[in-house]
Amino acid sequence: MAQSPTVLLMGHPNVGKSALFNRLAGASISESNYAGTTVEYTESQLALDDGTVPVVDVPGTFSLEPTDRAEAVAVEFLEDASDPIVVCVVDATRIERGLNLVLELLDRGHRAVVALNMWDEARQQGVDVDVEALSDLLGVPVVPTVATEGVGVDDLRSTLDRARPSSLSGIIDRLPPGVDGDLEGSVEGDDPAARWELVDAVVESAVTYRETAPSLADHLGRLTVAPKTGLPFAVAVLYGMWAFFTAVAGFFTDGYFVPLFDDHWLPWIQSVFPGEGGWLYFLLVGDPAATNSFEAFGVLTSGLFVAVGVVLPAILALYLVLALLEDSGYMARLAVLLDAAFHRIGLHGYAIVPMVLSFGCNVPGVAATRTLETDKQRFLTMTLLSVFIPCGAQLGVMLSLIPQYTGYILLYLLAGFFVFGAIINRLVPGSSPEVAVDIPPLRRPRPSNVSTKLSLRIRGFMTSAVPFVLAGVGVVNLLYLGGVVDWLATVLGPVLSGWFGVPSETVPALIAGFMRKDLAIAQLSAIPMTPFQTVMSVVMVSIYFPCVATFAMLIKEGRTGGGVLRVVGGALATLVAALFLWGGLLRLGGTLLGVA
Amino acid sequence: MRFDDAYFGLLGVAVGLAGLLAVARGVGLAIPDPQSTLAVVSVSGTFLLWRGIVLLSAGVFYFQGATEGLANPAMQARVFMASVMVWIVAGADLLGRLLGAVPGDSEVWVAGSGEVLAAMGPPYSPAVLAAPFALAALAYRSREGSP
Repeated sequence: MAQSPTVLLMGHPNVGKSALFNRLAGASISESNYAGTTVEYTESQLALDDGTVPVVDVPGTFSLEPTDRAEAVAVEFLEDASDPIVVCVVDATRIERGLNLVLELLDRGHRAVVALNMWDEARQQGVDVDVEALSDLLGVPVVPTVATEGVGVDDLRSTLDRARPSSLSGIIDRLPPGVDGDLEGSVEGDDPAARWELVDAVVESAVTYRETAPSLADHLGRLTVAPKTGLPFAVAVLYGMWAFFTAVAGFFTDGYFVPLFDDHWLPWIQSVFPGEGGWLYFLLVGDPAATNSFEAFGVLTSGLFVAVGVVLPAILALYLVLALLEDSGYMARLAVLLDAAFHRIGLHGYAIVPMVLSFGCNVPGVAATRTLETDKQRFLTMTLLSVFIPCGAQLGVMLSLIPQYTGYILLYLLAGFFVFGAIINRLVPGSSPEVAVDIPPLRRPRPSNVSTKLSLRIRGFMTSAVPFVLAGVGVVNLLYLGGVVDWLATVLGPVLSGWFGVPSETVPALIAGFMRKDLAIAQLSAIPMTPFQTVMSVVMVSIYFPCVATFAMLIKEGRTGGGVLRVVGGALATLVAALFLWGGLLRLGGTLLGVA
Repeated sequence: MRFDDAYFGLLGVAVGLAGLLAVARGVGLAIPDPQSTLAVVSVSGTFLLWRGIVLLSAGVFYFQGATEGLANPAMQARVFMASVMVWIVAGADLLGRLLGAVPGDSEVWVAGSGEVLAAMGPPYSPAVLAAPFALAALAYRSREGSP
């Protein structure tokens, strides 16, 4: 190639673009067995015989007429790139849908190569594609690939220099006699119906379908989305997920990190750190008389313990389970099952994806709302996630400190998610369109992909979370030293005790909650409270201000999700209402039951 | 009647009854734990209601599969799904026991094998007892290749 044109990997969501990108570029980016993994583009270098060229994993798009932010990004890439080579990745098991996008790309004059991905599954499902005939018809190279196994990747790489444009009229001319119908000259331009007719003609010429009996996986796939069988199965999966999370997090935290920090690290640092009684000692080590790492509250004691001893195991366990659910294709089935419930709050089943991601960390959850169709849906989801969904770190600390209440608190927060969702849905103008949910096949999770996903997420989470935890402890301690905490406790005391029934000593935890919610809950554990006050204060911290990282993401996403002021202002208004109404309702319930 | 119809029919009855018992105890009915008369099995612990619902559903799926006829691949899939549900509950139970038993304390970081084995001993939950019998469903998978 004379120049170094950019290679764009384009195609529908969930056709294996990210897997192909990893194989082509030798990169490690996250792949999932559901639509919408790639809401941001990823760029790398592709080694060819005569040098390297940039290669971009573009967000999935169903057509070149974008309907959501992720699709808009894909189309912008295509329009902004200078004479790119488009590798149009097509799911060979659903070749008709992919060919429609191929024709759109060719109609716009782009040089293209078609990667017929999931070739193995297509053969198993009785879809036989005459690759040579298809290539001749389209006028561009067509390469069968199995991206997850690396099959066909070298052929695809060596075919890139033969990428070329083609025209729809040329394709019509090449159709065999008898299958071109009345297509002649009628497909140019943006005429979806005519383009689909051409797709049908191409498929009729190059694809044959064999009768195949449904496999066990096909039957299982149907059972998991049928309510009568799917809902009990979902209960089993969610129970298993929760049990795994509690067992693994407890194993590391209670089994190893608690004794390590409480019996070795804390006494050691308390004894060797100089200047006991001084501000630096208070800042870094905390209380010299503390006997456990939750109560010491120094940067190097509680900060380190929460970040490494509590958050890391919880995140590890949760992200492992999430990766398995995503890779197996079960996540999309959960979306279908919950579609009716989400419709009541103006969303659709795929809102489960950002919601479940938020149980790991709210930040990727908010980012994943880009796959939702309208500004209203994005606003709704971002707001509800940042207010009502506790992150994995927070859950880990809750499990460690108040395991007996964690399940109830989680249920109360989820109830708040749907109640406030229904209210906001009525208050906020905008549309909530119906969408067709794309259900991927059930597949056995691939260890390599699960481990890649796990390591990327753990790395990303720890590099963003650990500094915030340590800084959070430092900021709260500095506010203590400056007398700000005592002043705030005096000012907010009447509201806290009068409305919520919790002591004013919870103020430092609320301050810490802005840095990290897990840290705030850790701090609550050091305050003497009744069991109900503990539950009440944990609920308050959960639905009170989102942590600073989530807040920053809300601002970033707000720019494209209806405006920063609207998104952030709406989220803040919701959290204030939720804090006082949902928190107050819990207090009222506790009072009526005689436990408050 | 095929052998597997009878086998999974009986397994469905047993798993379903265990699930029913767990649900009843989970909602607070004063039904004694079978451990008092049958030392090897115990229906107790956290999330009993949810575990009971899963087992009861699995029992129903086994029974439906058996009565509709396991010559039908759709019913084989139903039985396979029931087995997966039993394995999830049993696996979670065993994993919790194992990971709870392995750590010693700050002086002994890994507990002795005797302590770990004792923790893995009886009594078992109904799901753990049913899990080996549910393995028979794997035959439907191996017969036609992996899902």
